[in-house]
Amino acid sequence: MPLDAMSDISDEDLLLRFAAGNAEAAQVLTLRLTPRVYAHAYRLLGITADAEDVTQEALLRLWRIAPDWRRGEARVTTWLYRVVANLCTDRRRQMRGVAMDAIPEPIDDSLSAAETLQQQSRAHALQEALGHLPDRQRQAVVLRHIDGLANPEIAEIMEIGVEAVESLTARGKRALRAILLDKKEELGYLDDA
Amino acid sequence: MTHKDDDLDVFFDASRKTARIPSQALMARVLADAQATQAGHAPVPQRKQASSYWQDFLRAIGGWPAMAGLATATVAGVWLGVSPPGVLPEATQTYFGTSGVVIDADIGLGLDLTEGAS
Repeated sequence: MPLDAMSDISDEDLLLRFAAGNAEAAQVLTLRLTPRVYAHAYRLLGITADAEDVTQEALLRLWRIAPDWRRGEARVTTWLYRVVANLCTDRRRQMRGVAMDAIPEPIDDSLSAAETLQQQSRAHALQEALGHLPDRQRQAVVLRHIDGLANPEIAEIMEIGVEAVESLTARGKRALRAILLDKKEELGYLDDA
Repeated sequence: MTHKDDDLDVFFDASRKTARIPSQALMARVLADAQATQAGHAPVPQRKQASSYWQDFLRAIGGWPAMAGLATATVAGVWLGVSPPGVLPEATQTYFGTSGVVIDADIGLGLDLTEGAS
């Protein structure tokens, strides 16, 4: 089956096909999940090499668990976000004091040079500010406001209640706001307000 | 959504737009892991079934060509038994010096070979 024809197949169905030995499923899952996992890991860690290691390890765990995957028990992405969070927590314990990476590379070609620079500056400022948050707050804010997940799914990923998620995101955003407030002029923050 | 949320949204939006994309090397490593793991998962190819007595026999006699020769010889033997050509009794007498041989098998007393009985 061509890879394009698999674009409508759910992650779970692809994982079950993967477990059954389907080579195309391995490729589609890799193409579909790696960017998502990597971007999330980078937001939690801020260091490319560590985010790459976490991504590879998280997906390796997914490949290994595939034969034992129980249909309908959890979403593949929910499971992955949980594994990534645990791996990132371990990493962060090991890397206290390590400087985060430089400004992220641009990926949106439609932006002008000035816009690109501004977006990069804001993203970098946010990444730096996220680095000051406690792990759980950072995870909740990233899942809710950058990855765009709903609170019930975040609650499932973090294995807490929805109210606890709301509390974590509220506290996280309050902390971010306090950190970023001082930088609003240099980041062109007022242009969009 | 409050005004303060909007303030942070420009940062969240910038983070999404500048999302890190995985390198080709990372994609290749992940795919290699997937393929290697999948090779271990893949249903174990059906093991060749243990050979049967019939297959052992066929192999012992030299395969199907030998089997064809054996079948031909068997059919020929049956045919000779059912409808022996006229020359055969003479050949038997020449060889054994008699027209027939009876083997009298008496369990416990040995075998008695009697010439000329019929």
